[in-house]
Amino acid sequence: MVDWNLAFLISGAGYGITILVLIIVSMCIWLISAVLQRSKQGSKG
Amino acid sequence: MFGLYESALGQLAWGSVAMLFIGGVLIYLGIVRKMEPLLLVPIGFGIFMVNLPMAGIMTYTPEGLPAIGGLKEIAEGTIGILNLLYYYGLESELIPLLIFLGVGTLMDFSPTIARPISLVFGATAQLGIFVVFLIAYLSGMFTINEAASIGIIGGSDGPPTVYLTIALAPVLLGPITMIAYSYMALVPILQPPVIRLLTTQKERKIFMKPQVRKVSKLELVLFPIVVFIVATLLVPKCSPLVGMLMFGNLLRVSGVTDRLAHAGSIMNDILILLLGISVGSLMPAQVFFSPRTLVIIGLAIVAFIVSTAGGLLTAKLINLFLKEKINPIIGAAGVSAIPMAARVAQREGQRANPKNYLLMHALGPNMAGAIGTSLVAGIFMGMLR
Repeated sequence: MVDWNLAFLISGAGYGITILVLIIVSMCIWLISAVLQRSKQGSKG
Repeated sequence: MFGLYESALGQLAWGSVAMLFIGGVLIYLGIVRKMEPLLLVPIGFGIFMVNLPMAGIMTYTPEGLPAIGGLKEIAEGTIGILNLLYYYGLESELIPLLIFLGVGTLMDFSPTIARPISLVFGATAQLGIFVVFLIAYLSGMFTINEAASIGIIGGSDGPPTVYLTIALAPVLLGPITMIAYSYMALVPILQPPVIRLLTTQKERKIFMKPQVRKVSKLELVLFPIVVFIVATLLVPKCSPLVGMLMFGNLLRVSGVTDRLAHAGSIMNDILILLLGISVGSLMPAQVFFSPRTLVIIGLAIVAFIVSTAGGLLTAKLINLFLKEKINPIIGAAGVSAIPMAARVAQREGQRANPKNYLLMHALGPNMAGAIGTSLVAGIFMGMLR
């Protein structure tokens, strides 16, 4: 017996979580890079 | 008579002969066409090993799963040497995880760190996985676990595919792994028509400066640590895959563990050899020749096409908000298939504009795709296991 609700829930939520997690990771990486670059510029100045 | 009294010739069924042909085709593609030779040659020979009657190198239960046992069963002749390899290497998930560690030692995440938005393409290019999961499950031909294992072919990443399939649908491990690795080799053929269909000539011509920002060593070291911690906190079941990948990468970038990183890449060769022969031996005729295998072959194409489209369309969407536009072709490289998808982006970009050099830009999403597929495997494991 195919459970349509479960199938759409898993695919929708699964795709959504994948995007959300990688957006969070990309923001962390961007933030760390920005801080490191700023501190590097600060130490040069 | 003459030692032929136990000849297997009389027991050679048509299904086995057809499988021997398929094994031969894989070996041909590997050796002559140079398509994923490190995998297709061992897989092809593994098919020979399991489809010759009475060889006894791998035995099966009536349910179509490899028989399980230890040294005692080998001595008794009830299981073969490849059963042991399957049990200790694949069923334990050891081989795919260690391969991912080795893959991590070979990956350079600099382009991903230089342009963190690459990670978004690596996520949206997983669309094919979920679309094909839906199609496979709603068709009624596959259980929900089998549908997830079929869908993940769309991630174009071997170890997560093997890892998830062993856990959710071990009976399909042979066909799914063979189809996944075969299609990865076909990325240069499958992707260009989708790229040309979904982008205009003007978009493909968009010029991107060849150089990406130079990434510092500290950023390189922090990247695997941050990715592992964040991903594991949010999707705990992805931790074996992401953990191995990131650990391998940390060994590479730390600058003080070169010997370990080198050992990881050497170990990878041994493990790929074991994976190839084990996967080939999971394809006896009775498992491979079923309508379901043909359906999986068709669904895998859909998964690749939709995943490519997912990355491309995201790049086009993001371009609406950017002053300095990116070439949407690099979004298509979000399907992992490293580095073929990035090379396809480079080739297509240069075809539209000979001044374009997209390889480094495309490698960012390409590497991110490996993280994306590992996440999806963890999500499916969390929801279905």
